[in-house]
Amino acid sequence: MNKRILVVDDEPLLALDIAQEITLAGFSVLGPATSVTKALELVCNEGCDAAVLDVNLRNETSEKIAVNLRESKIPFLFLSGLSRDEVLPWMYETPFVSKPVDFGELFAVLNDLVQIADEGS
Amino acid sequence: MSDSSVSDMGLAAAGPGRPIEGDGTVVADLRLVNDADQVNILIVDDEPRNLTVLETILDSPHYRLVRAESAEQALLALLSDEFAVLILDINMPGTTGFQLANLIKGRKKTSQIPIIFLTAYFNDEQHIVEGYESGAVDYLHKPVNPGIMRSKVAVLAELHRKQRELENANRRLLVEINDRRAIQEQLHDLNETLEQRVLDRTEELRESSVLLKAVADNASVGLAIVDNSRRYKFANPAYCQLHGVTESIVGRMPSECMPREYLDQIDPHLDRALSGERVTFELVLSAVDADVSRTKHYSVVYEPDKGGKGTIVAVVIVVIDITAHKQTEQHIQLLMNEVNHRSKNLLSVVMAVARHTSGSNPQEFTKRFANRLQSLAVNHDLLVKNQWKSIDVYDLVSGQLAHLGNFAEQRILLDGPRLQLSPSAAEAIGMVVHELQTNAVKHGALSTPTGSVEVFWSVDSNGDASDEFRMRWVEKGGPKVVTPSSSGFGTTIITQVTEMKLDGKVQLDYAVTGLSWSLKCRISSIMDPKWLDA
Repeated sequence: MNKRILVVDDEPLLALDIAQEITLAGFSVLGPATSVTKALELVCNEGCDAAVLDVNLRNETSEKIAVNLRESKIPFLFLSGLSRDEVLPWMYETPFVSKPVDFGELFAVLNDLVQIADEGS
Repeated sequence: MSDSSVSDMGLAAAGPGRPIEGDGTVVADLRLVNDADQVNILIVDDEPRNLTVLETILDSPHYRLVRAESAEQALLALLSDEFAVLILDINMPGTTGFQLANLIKGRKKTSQIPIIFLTAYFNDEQHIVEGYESGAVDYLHKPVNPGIMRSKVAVLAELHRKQRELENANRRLLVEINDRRAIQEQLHDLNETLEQRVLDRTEELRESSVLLKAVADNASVGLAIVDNSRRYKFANPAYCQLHGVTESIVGRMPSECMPREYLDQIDPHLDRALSGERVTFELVLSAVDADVSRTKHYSVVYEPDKGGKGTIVAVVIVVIDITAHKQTEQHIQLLMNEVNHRSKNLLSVVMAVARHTSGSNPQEFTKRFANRLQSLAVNHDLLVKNQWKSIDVYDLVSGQLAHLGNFAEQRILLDGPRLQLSPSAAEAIGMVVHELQTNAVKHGALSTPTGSVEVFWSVDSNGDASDEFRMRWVEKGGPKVVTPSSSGFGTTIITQVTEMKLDGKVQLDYAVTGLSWSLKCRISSIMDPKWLDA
C-alpha cells in the first residue's frame, strides 16, 4: 500500500502542485491542508506515514503540527521560503528543503525519511 | 668819623660821597662752601669804593656779593638772580635809592627782598620816614659799623636761607605729595581695571553658565555628573525623564534611586570610567509592563573628568534615547524579511504556474505564461499602492481587465459595494478574474462581437462574523457553451485553489447560454478583521 504523505502549505496553488507531484511519485496524499487546525484534524482522524510542512501558515507557524508529529514518531520535513539562518529552535534536527521547491531534492529527503521509518519499525 | 680808613676790623667810617679805601678784591670765595648754602647779596652804590668797602665787610664764603653802581645795574641783577638782602645807597645820581626801592617793592617778584638803606645824612628824619615807607627793613648810616652791618646781614641771610630751605622742603614735599598722588591714582586705575576685569569675567561666566543651563535644560540628551563617591552632582531634566525619575536625584547615589535592572548594567561601566577610561555602551531598559515594543534603548557615554590634579573627580554621563532608531532598524529588518518571504512565495507560485501552463507550442506557452505573470504583477502594483494593506474589489477587477481597453468598459459590467480585500484574497480573486477573462476572450462571451459579461459582488449581512461574501461572473450572448472534456490549470485555479485559499465554495456552471462562476465565502476570509468594522 502507498505511503500516505501529509501536505501542509497555506498557498493552495503550491499545496496542490506539491500534492500532484507526490501522487505522481507513487505516494498517496493526505490533504493538502492550508491551516494548522485542518492539518491536526487530518493527522488525528486519518493518520499518515510522513509529512511535508510549510513553516509559516498565514498568522501561525507549523510548530504545533511538528510537536504532534514528533510525539507520534511520524517523520517529516520542512518545506519553506525561510532562509537557513532564520531556522527557529523548534525546527532543529528536522530536514529542511528550501522554496522554490526542487522536487528532486524533496523526494530524496522524503524517501530517506520513509525508509528510515520503515527500518525503525 | 670822616676820612677814617676802612679795615678788616670794622669801624670803617666813610663820609658821604667819599670812597671806601681798600683794594676791593674779594678772595674769600675760594673757601669751600656748598653753593646751595650761599646766598646772594646785592650791593648798590654809585661809588665803586663804597662797594669795595661793603665787599670787605661782608666777605664770607656764605655770601655771594653782586655789585651794582647804578639803579639800572641793580634792576638788571635783580632780573637774573635771587637775592637775600639788598644794600642800597640812598644818595645816588639819577634814580635815588628810594626810587629804586619803590620800583623793587612794586614788582611782585622782588617785593619781599629786605632792603638795608645806607645814608650819609645822619639823623635825617625825612629820609628815615621815606626809607620805611618804601618798605626798607633797616636803615644804616655811613660810615657803616661793620659789626652791625655783618650781624644785620647775617640775620637777613639766615632768614633767607631758612626761607629757601623751607621752600625747598615745601617743594620736595609737594613733589612727594604729587608722587604719592600719582601712585595713588595709578593704584586706583589698576584697581578699577581689575574690578572691571572681574566684572567682565563674572559676566562671561554668568553668560556661559546661563547658556549651559539653557542647553542642559532643553536638551533631549540626558546629561548628568556623578562624583567619585558615586553621588549625582547634577542631572538635567532629560536625564531624569529618560530614567523615569521624578524627584531630584542630586546628592543621591544611583543605587538609591535607580532600578535594579539599570544598576546591573551600568555598574561595571561606572567602575571603568572612575578608573579613568572613557566608556560607551548601550543600555536596554524593559518597560514596566514587559511590553517588548516599549523596551527602551539608550546609547550611553561615560566621560571621566580628570580634575586639575589629574585624579578622577567625576564622571560626566551623556545618555541618548535611540529607541526610535532601534525600532526603525527592527522595522526595516522586519520589512526585509517580509519582502524576502513574499519574493520566495511569489517565486514558488510562479514556478507552479509555469509548471502547469500548457501550450501547443513554445510561443503559445510563453504568451499564456506571460499573461498569467502580468496578472500577478497588476495585483502587486495595486497592493504596493495601498502599502500592502488592501485592495478595493472594483479596483482589483477593473485592474485585471484594464488591458482590454474600451472593449472592457462597453462589454463588461461591474457592480458591487466598496469592499477592501486582504492581500491574499486579492491575489486569489485577481487570478480568478484573469483566468475567466482569458477564457472569455478565447472561447466565451468576449470572443464574439455581441457577448457581454456581468460581474456582481455583494455581502449578505447577518451583522456578525458570519457575514457572507458572494461574487459572480456571468457571461451572456456568446457562442453556445460546451462543457470541456477535461479541466486544465485555469479551472484548478478558479475552483480548487480559490476554495482552499478563501475557505469557500465555488460553483462553475457551463450553461449553454453562457458560462457562470460564483463564489461564496465568509467575509472574514477576504478581509482583514480591522476592515470589518469599517
